Amino acid sequence: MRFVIQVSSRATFRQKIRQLVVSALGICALAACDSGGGGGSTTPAPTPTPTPPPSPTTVTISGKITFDLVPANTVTNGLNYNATVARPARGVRVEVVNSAGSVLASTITDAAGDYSLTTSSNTNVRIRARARLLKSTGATWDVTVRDNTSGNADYVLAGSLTSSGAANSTRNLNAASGWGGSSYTGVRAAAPFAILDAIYEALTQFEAIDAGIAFPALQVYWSVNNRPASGTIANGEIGTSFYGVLGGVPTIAVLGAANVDTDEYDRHVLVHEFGHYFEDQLARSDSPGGSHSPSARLDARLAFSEGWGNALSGIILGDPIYRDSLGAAQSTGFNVNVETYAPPTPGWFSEGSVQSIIYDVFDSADDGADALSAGLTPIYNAFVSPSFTNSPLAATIFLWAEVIRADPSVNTAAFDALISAQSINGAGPDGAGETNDGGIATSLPVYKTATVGGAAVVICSVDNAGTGNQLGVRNMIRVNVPTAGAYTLQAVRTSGDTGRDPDIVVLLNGVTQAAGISSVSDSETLNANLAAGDYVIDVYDFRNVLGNSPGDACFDFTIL
Amino acid sequence: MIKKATYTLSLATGAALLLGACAAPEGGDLTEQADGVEKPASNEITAQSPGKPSAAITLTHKLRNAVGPGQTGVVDVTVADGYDAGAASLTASGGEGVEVIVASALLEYDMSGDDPQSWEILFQADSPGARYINITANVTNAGGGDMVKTFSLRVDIEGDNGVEKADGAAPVIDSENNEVILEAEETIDN
Repeated sequence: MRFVIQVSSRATFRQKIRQLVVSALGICALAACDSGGGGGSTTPAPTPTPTPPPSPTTVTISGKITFDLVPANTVTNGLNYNATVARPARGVRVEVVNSAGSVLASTITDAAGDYSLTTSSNTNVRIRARARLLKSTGATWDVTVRDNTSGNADYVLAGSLTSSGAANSTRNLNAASGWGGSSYTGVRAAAPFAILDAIYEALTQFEAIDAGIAFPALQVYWSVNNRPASGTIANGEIGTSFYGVLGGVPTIAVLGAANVDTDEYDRHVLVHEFGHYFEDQLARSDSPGGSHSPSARLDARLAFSEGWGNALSGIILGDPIYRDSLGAAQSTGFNVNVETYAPPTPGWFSEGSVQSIIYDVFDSADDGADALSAGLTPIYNAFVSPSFTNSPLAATIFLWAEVIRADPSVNTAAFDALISAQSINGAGPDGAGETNDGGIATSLPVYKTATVGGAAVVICSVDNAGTGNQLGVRNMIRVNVPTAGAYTLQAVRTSGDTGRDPDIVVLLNGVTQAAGISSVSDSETLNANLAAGDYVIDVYDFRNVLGNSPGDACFDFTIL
Repeated sequence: MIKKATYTLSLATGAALLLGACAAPEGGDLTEQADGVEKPASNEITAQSPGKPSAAITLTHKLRNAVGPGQTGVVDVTVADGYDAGAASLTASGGEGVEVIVASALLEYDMSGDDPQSWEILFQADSPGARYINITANVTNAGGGDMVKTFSLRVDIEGDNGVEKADGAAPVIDSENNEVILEAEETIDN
């Protein structure tokens, strides 16, 4: 406020100043009165408020993805729902999506299940975790769980559509088991993530051995409708949990029918099937398939493949007790200790013997004949060695043993002690000189030998150990084909039961080159063009494989 | 005529022939395969493992006569095993909407013989469509311990051919994006 005073004299000036001071004091009093709500005619200028900072354009949403893990009841071998714990969903893809469902950003959870995503502020978004393991650098993999009864749709765990706000926030998502106390009453959201967690364990342990391992894409079929019925996979009739190549895609199918048989929490089952995926995609398997059990006497190729799967489950999960839950409320089941299980008839045809040998190579607990503690590395190296994958001989315990013996980290004497303890005494990759016939005399030698244009080789197909691909049903015949050309292979019944159905399959390094599979009674003739090489010829009575009027018969095999 | 093929699980992408016995995962129902059950082209199997470890038991089954809701049906089951000793005990129970007649629900036998076992299972279903009879096979093998295997035998009840669906809440299907949406338990801290 500025005052201009005009005066005629000094005295008048002093008087004017006094008047000015009084006036100023009056104004101040008026101002005070005004601010107190009293009278007065003048409003002072307001104190300016600070300008707020601009809202952030992006915010960070972070959190943890978990799933309900239902452990095994170690007494009943069923599931122990009372001990359900939340476990991190490791290595899964997490997305932030907008209201239209568009993915705004994505990441992969870490080993603690944690994620962090940056997105636009003040936007309605949803956090989603896909049932998908994804790794694109170093060791690589891509594993997705799909619902085979809903058009092979991907499983996705979804949070709520909520504003991202103007500040960082935390959103934790848990996939619940759906268990209501005595039955499943809610959505079984945890199942796909429980499956992935077991597989993640296997992937990372192989990664620790081979940092550059490239796993081909794998899909897992799981549905609450997956039951042990034969029929249409789209209906959930998958028969059992298995590995296969379906529609050209490596696939593990997992049972999920409650009160019948579920496998999403049976981690040993999952890793067992992963072992078959590993064999098929990264190593080698010549298994002819078929019903099997650790106590049964099996085709050597079937025994080796299944023993490997059992052993791997114990190795990866750090628990040699393989468990499988089933039945009403998943309350019962069975178990097999892959380390200590003693098959009734051990040998090169025994899944139980193979699982024991492989597990004992790995484990650090020396017991009985086991003095080896070599870990998973030499086991893995033997499986992926060209000496194993490219051998003209079949993938049996004999071939694998020959390869792993050459590993400098494996004490040969200690390994041979494991083999011998399982009543395996054949030498070399073909088991030459093996004397343990498993009670089936015609099962030896492990490989019969035929020559082109030579004398007939007698082979027999018997069902003494059972039908399917039990020991004695199939025969492996080694043949060297010296030059490429047309050949005639024949199997003709010479003794035993009549009305048999012999079949001939020609394999080169485990790959089928030709097959004679007619239904002609008591003989089979196969005309095939073969390249030069060392072959394994698989000859069997199909009636014994099928279990349809099984019997015992012998055949003369020739190749001309 | 029984459909035949040969199956070999191998590394190569070369053709593998499929065994009739393994067209279904082993231990499943061979009769189903012989009946030519449809397989979607997208799930054509070109290689397959035998399936998880379990009792070495195989079943085939056949519905003796057409049966409608409320009628008593008979399923003829043939049981084969891969053992030469031990005891087998098979128990049948009804899936959703199916009641197994108790007197026919149990088969027990000595596995030392070679011949397959025949088993008649009587049942009633309360509604039409695809229903299941569940079998649990327990094997006590001399010196080998116990093993178990489960089966679901499909029986088609005259009427609408819907397939039995599982209990519990159903998730949301987003058919546009081909996703099954599982609602999460979520906590948000701002």
